[in-house]
Amino acid sequence: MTELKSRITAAIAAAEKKPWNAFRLVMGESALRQAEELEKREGPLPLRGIPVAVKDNIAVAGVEMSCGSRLLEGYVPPEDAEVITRLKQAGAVILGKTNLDEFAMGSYGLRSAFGPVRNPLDPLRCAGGSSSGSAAAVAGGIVPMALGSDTGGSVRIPAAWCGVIGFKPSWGAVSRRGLLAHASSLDAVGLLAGSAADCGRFFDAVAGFDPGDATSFDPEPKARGVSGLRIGIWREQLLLADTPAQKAVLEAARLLERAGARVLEISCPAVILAGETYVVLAAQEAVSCLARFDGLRFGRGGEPTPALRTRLMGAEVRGRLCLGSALLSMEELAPLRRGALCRRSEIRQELERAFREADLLLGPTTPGPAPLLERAGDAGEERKADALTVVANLAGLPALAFPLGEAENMPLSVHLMGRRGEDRTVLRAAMALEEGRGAR
Amino acid sequence: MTEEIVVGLEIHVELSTRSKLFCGCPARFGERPNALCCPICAGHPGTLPRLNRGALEAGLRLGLAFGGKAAPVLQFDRKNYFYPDLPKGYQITQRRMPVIHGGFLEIGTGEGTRKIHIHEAHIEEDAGKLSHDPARGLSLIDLNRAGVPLLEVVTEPELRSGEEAAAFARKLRDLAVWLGVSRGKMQEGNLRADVNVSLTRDGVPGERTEIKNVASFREIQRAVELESLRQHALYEAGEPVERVTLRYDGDRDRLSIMREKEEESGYRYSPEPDLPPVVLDPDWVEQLRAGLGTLPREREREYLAWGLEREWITVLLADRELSRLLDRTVSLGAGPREAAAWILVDAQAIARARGWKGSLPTPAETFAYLIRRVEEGQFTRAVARKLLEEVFEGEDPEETARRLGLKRIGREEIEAAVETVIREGGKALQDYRAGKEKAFTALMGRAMGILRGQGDPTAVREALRRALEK
Repeated sequence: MTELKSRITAAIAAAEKKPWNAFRLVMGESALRQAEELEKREGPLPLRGIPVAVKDNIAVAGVEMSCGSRLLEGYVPPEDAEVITRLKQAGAVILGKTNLDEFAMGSYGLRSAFGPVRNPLDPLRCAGGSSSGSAAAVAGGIVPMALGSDTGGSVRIPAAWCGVIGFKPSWGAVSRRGLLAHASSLDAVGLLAGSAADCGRFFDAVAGFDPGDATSFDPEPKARGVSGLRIGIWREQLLLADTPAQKAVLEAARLLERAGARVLEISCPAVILAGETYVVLAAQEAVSCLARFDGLRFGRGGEPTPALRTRLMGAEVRGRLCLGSALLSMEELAPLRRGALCRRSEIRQELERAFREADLLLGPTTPGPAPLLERAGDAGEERKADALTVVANLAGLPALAFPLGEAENMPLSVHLMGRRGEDRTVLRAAMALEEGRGAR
Repeated sequence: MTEEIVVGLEIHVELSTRSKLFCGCPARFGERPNALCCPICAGHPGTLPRLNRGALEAGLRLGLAFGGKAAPVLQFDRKNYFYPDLPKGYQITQRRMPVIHGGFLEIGTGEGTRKIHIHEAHIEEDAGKLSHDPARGLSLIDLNRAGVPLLEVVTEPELRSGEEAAAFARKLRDLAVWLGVSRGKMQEGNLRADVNVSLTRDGVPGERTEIKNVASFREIQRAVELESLRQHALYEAGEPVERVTLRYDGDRDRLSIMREKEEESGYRYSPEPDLPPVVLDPDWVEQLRAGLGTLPREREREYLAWGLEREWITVLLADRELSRLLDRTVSLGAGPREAAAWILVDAQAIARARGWKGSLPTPAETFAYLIRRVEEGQFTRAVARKLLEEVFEGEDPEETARRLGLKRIGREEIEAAVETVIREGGKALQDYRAGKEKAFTALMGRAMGILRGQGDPTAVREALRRALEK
């Protein structure tokens, strides 16, 4: 057996054991077929033979996509998502579909209708969500790269808690075509990888304008060098984190400084309201994005819509849809609706100002390490998990979670955010962190 | 007590683009159900809309033609509601930034023409179509129409009767057809109106109601008439008029209440993030405006000056091809009234008799040739008419006339034919001589037969009378 085929066979075998409940579905046969076809393809391919896991809200033609929900069980999309097409062109092998919080709504990885995902580093802890299965598949060494999606932190939070790299590109830098929409103006296809270098190759393979996504564009082809780069430590975000996470941020600043960057302090107070703003906007958008799941067309059906939704949707999804519907239709809530839109533009303006002084903003990804499962019952706590990450979605900026530091024997993570379109500068800084950490 | 009917219309004009508004599926009528449907029109998860520039252009042209202003930037919104024929659970439309603001159309009323102002017009996608099969207990969804582009034109509440409402709708249809931006076929649902009706009594405006999805001019008129009567009766009985949505049943000529109390927020609008704002290039808009050509209201003035009949003008303004054919025939030297008569009466009669579908196949040159020959006295009108039948589908008239031996029948030939009829005698002649006036027709027919139908009937009739009186 060739090296390529044996690598894929090993990945299939590892995935089929369904460790940590990370995989919903392993595409063994088609992965082997892809491997065989690859051997016939000549020339260099950027991701030749690399097995990639795909979050189960991204369409692979002919393969069930249930999005962590009983409601969508049995739905088979007719077309590949644009990112899947590009990955296949680049020589990657699609290994399987990974588990996620139902309709990508959740931060702990516990809200899939098909059971919670466990953290490969400590099965008594959350993997983080909603791209929980993809993060676990990378952290557990089954695949070097996995696709996720990030609407409020859904790639970066599980990456942080599983100790891998999670990257949410600029809004539009990667085509959303084929990504099941949760809140279109906030959604991004995200990348999970074991190393910053892999993450960069992964991004190059999938990024860029897609005529089928009117909001897509080509990000800056060149990264700014780290030498002379201005790194702004984000004071308000730092204050929201626990001491070990604060220390990790300062350590990251030191590593970047050693690589030639200049470190300064930045203040953006409006972002303190980002969490609430996100809740209001995401809930409203989810109402229309999920409206098509009415039991008439996709997945399960056969009952009137409200009964079907009540029976087959989890509490978190129903709660958000109720909130969103109320926000959209009740005149009394109009001030909340308008307020959220105003705050979103305030946040954007404030960040624009910050990016005049700094090229990258640095902070913690989460306030602390992965919570223990026994302490994960509080929905209020869960919603706070994304307080630090939603800013990037509200402003459409590229943001990366980089594993650095430790607490309670679990990894911590720092958060790098750049200007819209400067995705590669963020990735370059992550590579500098990786080199610095290795040299330590 | 003074009472005034107040009507505002929201008219959905289906734009006749090659493909749908947000995907590449063809926008055609009459195909097998769901033959024109892709994952985008079916609303599959993960699909994204792509704006069809052709639809935008068609909408802009119609808006500019009724004098509207183009918005500098276009934005799209989602109108969220559940209905089985709406695959995504929302309709993509424009609420905050419609493509067209303002404008007007003039309608003829009892007291001359009146301007009816247009509030705005926006581009949106059509929904699919539901049909019910009670035998099998099924409701079926056809998505061929889902995603077909519409321009929704919203008038100010300035119409005062059902007749005026129907006249406005007809005017808008004619304009859209004139510009070629809509097929304007009512029976295919190319134009559907939501009709808003209220009564103003002694200057006090009343609550308004809406009659949804009215699909013909006559139905628009009847819907207004019936609803104003219903509201009048409520007021007279001292009952309140509630803000309801009604349906007009054309078969039974009746209104029925569809939904009680409707509130604006029932529709739950939200911005459409999947389509970025479109900045309209002012140069492009100017180019479109310049490319509109002569508009029906300018054409109407000219036709009146030419002395054309009113009903001819109505027909011409509803059919730009006929109008172009007439203009071209006139530009080749034909008199406007003669040309109009040939095109609108003779040629149309032939088309009807042959069941001809679509535009007239006869070129302007043929009409100009026939008119010139008649004027020069080379053909009688009857001969020319006979020739038109032969060359209706575009054959060369000169060559055809030569081949058929058509020429003007002179006085001598007519008199010779009449003489033959009288010489041959027969029962008809005896009857006529016995005082039966009806027999004249038979004699006339015989004379025309001898002339192979080419004689000028007036000349033949006169010659025959003269001969009989002798």
